[in-house]
Amino acid sequence: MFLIKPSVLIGMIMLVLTLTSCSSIGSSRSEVRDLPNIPEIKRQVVVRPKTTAPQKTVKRTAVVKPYNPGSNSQATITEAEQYAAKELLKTEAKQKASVEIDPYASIPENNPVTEKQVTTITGTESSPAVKSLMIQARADIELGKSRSAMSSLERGLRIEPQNPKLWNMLAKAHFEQSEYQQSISMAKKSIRYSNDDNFIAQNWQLIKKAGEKSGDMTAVKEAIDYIKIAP
Amino acid sequence: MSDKKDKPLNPEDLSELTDIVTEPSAGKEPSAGKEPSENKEPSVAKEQSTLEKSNNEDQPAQAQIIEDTDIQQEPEIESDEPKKPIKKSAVGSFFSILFAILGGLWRVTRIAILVGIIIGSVLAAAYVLQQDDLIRKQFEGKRWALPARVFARPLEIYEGKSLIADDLQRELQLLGYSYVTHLVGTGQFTRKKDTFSIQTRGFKFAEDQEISRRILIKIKKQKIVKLVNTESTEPLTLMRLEPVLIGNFYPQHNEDRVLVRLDDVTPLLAKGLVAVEDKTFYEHFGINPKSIIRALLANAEAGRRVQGASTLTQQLVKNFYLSNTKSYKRKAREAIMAMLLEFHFEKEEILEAYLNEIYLGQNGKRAIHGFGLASQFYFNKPISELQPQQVALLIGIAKGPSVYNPRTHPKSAKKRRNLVIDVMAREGVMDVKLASNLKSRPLGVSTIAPPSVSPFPAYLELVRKQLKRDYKEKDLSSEGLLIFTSMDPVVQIQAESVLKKRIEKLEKSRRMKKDKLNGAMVVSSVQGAEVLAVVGGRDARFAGYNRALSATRQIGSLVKPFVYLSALNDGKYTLATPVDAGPVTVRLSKTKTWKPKNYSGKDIGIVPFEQGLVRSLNTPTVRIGITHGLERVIKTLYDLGHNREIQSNPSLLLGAVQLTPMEVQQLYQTIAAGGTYTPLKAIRSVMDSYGETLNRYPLVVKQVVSEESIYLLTFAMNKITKEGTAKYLSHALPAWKNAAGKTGTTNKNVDSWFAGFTGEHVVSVWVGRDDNKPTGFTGAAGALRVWADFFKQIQTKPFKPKKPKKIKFYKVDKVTGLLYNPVCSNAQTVPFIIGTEPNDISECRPQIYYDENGDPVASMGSAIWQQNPENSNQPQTTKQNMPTQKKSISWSNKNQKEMNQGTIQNTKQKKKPANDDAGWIDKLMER
Repeated sequence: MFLIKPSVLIGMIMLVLTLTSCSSIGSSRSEVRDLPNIPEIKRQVVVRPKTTAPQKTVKRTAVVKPYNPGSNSQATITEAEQYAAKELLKTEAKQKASVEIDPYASIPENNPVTEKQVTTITGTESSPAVKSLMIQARADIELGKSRSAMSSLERGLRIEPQNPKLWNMLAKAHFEQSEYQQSISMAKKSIRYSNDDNFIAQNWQLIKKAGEKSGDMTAVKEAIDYIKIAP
Repeated sequence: MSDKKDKPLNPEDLSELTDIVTEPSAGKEPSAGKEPSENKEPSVAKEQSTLEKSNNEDQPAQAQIIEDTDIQQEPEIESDEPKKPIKKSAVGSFFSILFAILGGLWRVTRIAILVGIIIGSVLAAAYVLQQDDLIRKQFEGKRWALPARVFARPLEIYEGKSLIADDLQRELQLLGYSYVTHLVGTGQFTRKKDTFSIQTRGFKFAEDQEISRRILIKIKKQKIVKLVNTESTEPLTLMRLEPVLIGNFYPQHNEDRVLVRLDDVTPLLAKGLVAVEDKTFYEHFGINPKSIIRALLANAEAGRRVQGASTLTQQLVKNFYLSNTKSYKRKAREAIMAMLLEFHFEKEEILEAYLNEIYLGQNGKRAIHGFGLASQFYFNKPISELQPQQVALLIGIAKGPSVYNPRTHPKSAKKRRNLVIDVMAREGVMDVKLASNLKSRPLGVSTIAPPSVSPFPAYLELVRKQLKRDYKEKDLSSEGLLIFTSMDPVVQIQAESVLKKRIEKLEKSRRMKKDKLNGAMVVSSVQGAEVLAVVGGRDARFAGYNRALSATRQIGSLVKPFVYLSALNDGKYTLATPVDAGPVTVRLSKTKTWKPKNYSGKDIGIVPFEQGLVRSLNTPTVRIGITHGLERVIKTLYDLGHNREIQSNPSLLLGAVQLTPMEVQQLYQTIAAGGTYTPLKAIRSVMDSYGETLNRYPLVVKQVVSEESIYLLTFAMNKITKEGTAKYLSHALPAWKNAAGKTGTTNKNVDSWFAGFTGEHVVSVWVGRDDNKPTGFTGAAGALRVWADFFKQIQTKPFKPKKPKKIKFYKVDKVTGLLYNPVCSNAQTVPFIIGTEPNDISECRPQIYYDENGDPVASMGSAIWQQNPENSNQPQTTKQNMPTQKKSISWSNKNQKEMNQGTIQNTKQKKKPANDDAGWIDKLMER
């Protein structure tokens, strides 16, 4: 800038001098002079944005499928189609609303202090204590000592209340004693706690037999229904 | 005359003679008519006399004489005739008569003596036989009236079992195990940090038995991690300790025995006893004449009784009659019986009977007979575990149980014991060196006598009640039955202590008058419905009023779960069904109505079904109960196990029924067990004294409500502990101890209840005053605190039910109960029984305000939570349901159908909102 200034000054001074000299010379002639061509100085515009605006991307999902007029010559939607669409909406909403949760999932099976240890018991296997009781019970049943067997099995249930095998053996023992109602109730308990389909089926078979023996037709029917669904 | 001599002397004749002699004028009377042998003559004499009479009165003497000649009258006749010869023969005949009399007398006495001897010996024989019979009856079968013994459950031990080390120690202490440095005999244990070494005693149960073992138990982090039998290489998977004895049912005279067999006791006892009490026991025949004489002399010398001379047999007999009179008569009787005893029984049998019969002390009302029981009484151990000096003490006590009582007279007891030891050493029964060593040892007696009454009277009362159904009182307390119960002594003690402490705290907190507040508690196991503990009051040791079994109290809100359960079980309601919680009026009769209010008194508007339970609201409960049907609710209560009749009255919906804590327990038990009804039981089995099972009380189950409806109910009841009236539990208990339950408060806070359960235990608590005055505590402030204190202490499994296959969770709108709408819903996740879930989406409604004129003014808005009942977000809202216009609900059966139809109508409206004023939005959407 400072370099320009003096040259501009000098330029301007020379211009003035030339003009005055020309005018002094030219004043004798009264001619209209053309102004000289003054080049324009263009200022450069620098674009400096002050803020960076976030890039907003609006996702637009189609709520309703775009209507394709080419596929359908009709201009309006029928009642039935409307209803069907509504139903579809409902089932979709229901699917979305259904939640596969177990509110008690976060709760441990036992005192977490004790749970920290590695146990040899897997999810479905009975503990050694219960196994020994089952062996004893089986032996007693062979000997015909059903009552004794029941004692052992009940003792086992105190240790593992939700062991389906224990309930099943109890159901069988009661069946041997002709106590059919108890047999049915206990077989149902065994079903409740079991995840093994085969085992569940066995229990239903027992229920069917017990129902037939005691004339409990509802039980028989229930058993047959189950067997039909899952043979 | 000659006649006279031939005839035998008849005493009657003599008396006749004397009559006639004294009354000469009485000769007219025919007094001789009595003699049968002289019938003829007197009659003749009569005639003669009468003849003579009639003839001449001057000759009375003659007549007399005539008469007299018939009868022997020597002196008279003699006197009339020449006198001299009469005198002479009078003396002689006097003596002859005398001799005759004496001879007669002698014959008489001879006979008398004979008869006497016969009768006497008959009587004596009869007497002896009687005594013999008595003895035989008593000793032959050796049948003593034995009390029934009541045992707690045996502690099961296996690897993986949750067990706190201190609880194991407590159990061992209750069993009377000694804490030693190293194991020597049964009934001992050592403990190093959490490793136990135990020598068990073994026990014979009804169907099987546990042998005595030496075991090692290692407990880590409240669980058994190691269980081994240190004497065998075989693995030990499962075993039981002996059950703790918790009480007895005594026979009439408070008799009790712990029978011992001669073969089972240490020989030191028998030998020592003989050496000290009766050296010649094996030689004599029941009594020892030598020692009797010796004693007599000694006593005579001293002037009083200084020496006894009883043999063991005599002592046994004396003991049997427990007579204290020291008369010679008694002694004689004892002697006879002793000899009889010896006649019938062997020495060994007598000795064994002695061991079981001898009186050895007094425990309140209970007399301690026999060495077996004495061993328990003085040392809290079975006799097989006694040390020699302890055996010596018992032998010493036999001589004088009160004088030598080791607790009251320890010095003289010790002196006596050492004397016994000396005698035993001298007689060669005991080693001399050992003897001198033993004398320096302390008595070893347990400082406190075991209580003569059970420390657990409340539980025993329940046991007795259940036994009465099957046994007569007489058999119960005399046959020596063994009763195995399900009581857990450790849990019982904890429950008692918790109740006592918390009630004291509660009293202090309100500065109540002392000892006014009381409570009761029942603990049972979810599996099997076995009663683990019964606490009848804050003073558990006192056998007084058992509130747990006998105090019927209004249950208040405790009844609500059953109302909701009944509604859920019939499938008419879901957890999300909107229910009106506004004011309700129930028509009781033509003129009477009932207007129950909520605790806050405010009109809360419409709430989801489960909130009525979680927040323990009154008005929706009443509405649901009446709409669903009072009879159905009552039926549910019966199904769940209630045994007494319930009056059908709408007030029962808010708990105006009276139940005992035990009855409450039964109802909550069924819920905790997933809808499976099992009657609560205290007894597992009953065994007779020979080891045979008399009765077994097996497990019975019956599904009374669907497991799905129980799942829904318990979901709500679990919420009660998290956000409802019992949310105190959410910070009082650790998170993993998940529980479900219900608070209960009656009018004016008279009764404070909490009943709830975890995965393993069901507990009901009542707190209140015996005089029925208000306590000032709600269920949450009173009973709940006790409940929480209890569960802080005990080991339990969390409440974690398995989701039934027919249950599915859905997100629904809090307000409408329909599927949630992401745009405007306040969603909550609620379980549903498949088939009952909503199918419609909750629709958003504009916020509708009502201006002064009552006209709706719409404005755009989103779904709002109803604080203001006037803003409704429900498509079915019609002016009908507005709080300002409430119909009163009549509960009689007549109107029930109408009501049902009413509700059905409303739900129908839910699905078709076409007539709705605000339906214009729909139309918009339809485009």
